[in-house]
Amino acid sequence: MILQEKMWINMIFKRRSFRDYRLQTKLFITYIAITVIPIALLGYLAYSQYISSIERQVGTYIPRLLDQANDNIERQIDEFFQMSDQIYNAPMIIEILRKDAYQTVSAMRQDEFIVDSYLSSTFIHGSQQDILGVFISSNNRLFSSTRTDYLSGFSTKEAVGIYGQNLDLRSQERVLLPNETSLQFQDKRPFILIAKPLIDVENRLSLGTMFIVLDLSFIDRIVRPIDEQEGAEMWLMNKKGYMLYHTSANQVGRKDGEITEYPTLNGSFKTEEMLFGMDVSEQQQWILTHRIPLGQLTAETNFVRTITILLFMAVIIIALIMAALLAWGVAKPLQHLTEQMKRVEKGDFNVVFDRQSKDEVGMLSDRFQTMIREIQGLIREKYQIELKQKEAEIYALQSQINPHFMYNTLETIAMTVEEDDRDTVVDMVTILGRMLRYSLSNKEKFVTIHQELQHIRDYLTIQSYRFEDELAFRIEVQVDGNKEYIPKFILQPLVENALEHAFVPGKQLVVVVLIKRAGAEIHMSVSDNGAGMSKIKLLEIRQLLTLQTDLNRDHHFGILNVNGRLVLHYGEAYTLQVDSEKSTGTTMLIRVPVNQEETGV
Amino acid sequence: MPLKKRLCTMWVFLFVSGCSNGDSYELLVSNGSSSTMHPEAQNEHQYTIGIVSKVDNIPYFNSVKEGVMEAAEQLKVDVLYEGPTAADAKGQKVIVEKFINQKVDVIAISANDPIQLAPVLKRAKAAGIIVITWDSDTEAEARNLFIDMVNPEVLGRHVMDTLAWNTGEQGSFAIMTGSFSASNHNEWLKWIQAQWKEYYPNMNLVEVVATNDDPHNAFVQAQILLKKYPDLAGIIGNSSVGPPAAAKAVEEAEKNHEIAVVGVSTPDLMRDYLKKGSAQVVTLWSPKKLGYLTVSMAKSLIDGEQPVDFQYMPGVGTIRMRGTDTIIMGEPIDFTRENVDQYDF
Repeated sequence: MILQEKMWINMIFKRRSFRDYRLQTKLFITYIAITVIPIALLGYLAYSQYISSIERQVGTYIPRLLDQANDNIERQIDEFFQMSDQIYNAPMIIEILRKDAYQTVSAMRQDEFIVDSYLSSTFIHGSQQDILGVFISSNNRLFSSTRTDYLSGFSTKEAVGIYGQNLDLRSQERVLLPNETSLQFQDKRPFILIAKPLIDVENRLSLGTMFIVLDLSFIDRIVRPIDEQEGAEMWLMNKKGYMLYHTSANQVGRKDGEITEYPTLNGSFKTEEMLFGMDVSEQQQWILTHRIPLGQLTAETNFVRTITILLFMAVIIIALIMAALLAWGVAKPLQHLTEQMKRVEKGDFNVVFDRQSKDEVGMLSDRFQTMIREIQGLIREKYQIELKQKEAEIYALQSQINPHFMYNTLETIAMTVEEDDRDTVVDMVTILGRMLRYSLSNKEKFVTIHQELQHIRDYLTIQSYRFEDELAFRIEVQVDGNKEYIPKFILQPLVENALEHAFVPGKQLVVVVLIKRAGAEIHMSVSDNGAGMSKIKLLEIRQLLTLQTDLNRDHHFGILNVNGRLVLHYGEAYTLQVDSEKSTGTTMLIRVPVNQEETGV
Repeated sequence: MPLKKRLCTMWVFLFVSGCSNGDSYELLVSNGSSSTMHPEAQNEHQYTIGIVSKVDNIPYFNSVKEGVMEAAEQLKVDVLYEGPTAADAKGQKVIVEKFINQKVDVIAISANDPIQLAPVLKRAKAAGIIVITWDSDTEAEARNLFIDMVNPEVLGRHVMDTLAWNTGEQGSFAIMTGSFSASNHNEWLKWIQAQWKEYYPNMNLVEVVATNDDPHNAFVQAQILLKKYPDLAGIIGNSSVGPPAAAKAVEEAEKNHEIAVVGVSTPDLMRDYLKKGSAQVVTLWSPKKLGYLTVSMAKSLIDGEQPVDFQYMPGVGTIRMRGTDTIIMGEPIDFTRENVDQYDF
């Protein structure tokens, strides 16, 4: 039970694993299964049917031929028996045979001479070439006439072999085989012996027995023409398997040991290699056997078989190729689709479908492509929304005026009021008012360089009121400030940054703002001569700028804001460039393309 | 499990042809067991053949009986052999009626009188019994087949010839026939006379007498003839009792070699007379063979085999047919002083 379960599980597992095969493999296997296997099966069945029909045919007609041959043999034997009846037509011979005692030896010799001469002239020198010899045993006499010398264990006084006149054959005619007699011819030729009791029909007494020795050539003449194919063998045997005739002469006299195992003696059967046909004769019960190798029978069909196999191979090859093509044709676009999907999965929406078929795969590709376009649109939409939000955020940030600056400026104004320097106060308040207006008039994102520089100048002026001699500044403009537009508040954070970090105690800080044209770009630099940065610090800053990290961080907020906006407006190539050396100063450079007009992106 | 089963079945289906076990034999065509002697054994219902002789206990019919019994033994049939004490139709009729009551398969009769016996034989036929006549025939309608020993013309003419040889074709002669009613005797008589008239003008038939197949009566008749015709040159005995009676009478009259005795008789009866010279030639067939042939023919008729011309009968030889219902067993044999010892009947 456990074993069965295990097998069952195994089966499921196997079936699962077939399911897990790739489509291409599955299709291929399926194609093979539905083409090659049926063809192979069909071919095999057809061929084996053909072969077995040949065998059946041969198995049917061979026994018929054998039956005819058997009939002929028996008829021939009957003729020999009838031939022996000739002796009844010779009253002189019958008279001698009726005698049973002699007065003198010479009288007996005389009779022997007469009978022997008669046998010789009637049978041996007659027309029948198959008679090897004739014997008559009668009343302790043996008359004989033979074609060749014979050896036998009997003297003239005895009977031929083990049969003599004492045997009561009555009217029964018999055929004796060599193994039933002790008779032997000098050239050991095979023979059969027909024994016929001689009856004195008038007196109803036995006259003795007549034996006619027959050469097997008469059987040979009948049997051999049945099948002259090479490999075919035929033999004639009695029920005990003694082979009295065989197409190969050296087998004559041997025994067929398998006779008891044959499934029929009247019909045909086969083994792995041989086809047997058999027929039993009616009177003698002799079995005429025909045996032929199966290969011999099908030899003529081998050509057909070879052609069939070749054709089959060709069909299989074509089927394999077609199966492969078909499987590939279905699986390849799917594979292609899968690859494209993987790319999309990784974020690459620029996928191309080169296949434009109208089948299911093509439709799938189409739908997929549509879907990607949809997704792309959605992403873009979402991206833009986010962008707008960010911009709004930035705008909110940039529109703030630093509270520290306000506080410091108001304090400076207060101090100036205390000092009662009214002009300065008026100036400062005017400047501050202009600055506030600038920052509040936030309709436009882009402003002319001129407007921005006015704002910077205002800022620096107010700071210089505060720091007095500790701060100096210079603004140089080498371009037409009314023509070029730049993002609003793009310079202020850099200047703020310089004032915040660059002050060195006891040293006047000089801030230089330089606007110039370099090729197709406008370079705007903010330099100071202040504390500068260590190399590590500088690297850190640069890294921050390239990473384009979150804008909302407290530290270095100003410059990161500037950098972010630059990249947003002009692209990756237009990052903020920072250069600094410890104790020497820092320069920050903004580059923007020439004639950048407000595009409303 | 079902799947496994299915797979197994498939596997078996695929390999079943290859799986035939090794060296054993696969039967293709069988024509049944050979036709041995069984059919005969099957319809072995014991045949009974009733045989009626002309008269009981004379050597000729005793010889016939020997052949009959030999055949009965060899062919494995039951035979009832009977003859009347006197050679007349009345006795035979009684026997035939008895056989009809016993429901024999065949009645074979040597008819003493063709006309008187015809009704009873017809009755036997009507009862489904095959009726054969042998030795002496009856009316053709009363029997199925007649087995004649020899061609009566051949025999009659030959007997006349043997007499002529022994009398130098001269002188008067007498004929002792069996009975005037027996058809075979009359037939032979007819041909003897035909031959005489045709070829032997110098010979003279003085009288034809009937012996009624009684040896004593025959002897008396012979003696009367010798007395009546002192210059008689020869006597023909037309039935088996004739020649021995004639020879005996010649011997007693001490006229050996003077009066030729020929005719139809058995060697056993004639052996002494032939050797002593009181008879010269007798002609006959083998009555044993006749008996044997009668039984074997009766058997083949029961088996439904009709005889044909030149048919070979085992133990008998080749037979001839005359017409469609008469068989002729063979040629007559002459017995003389020289060869009579060869024969034993």
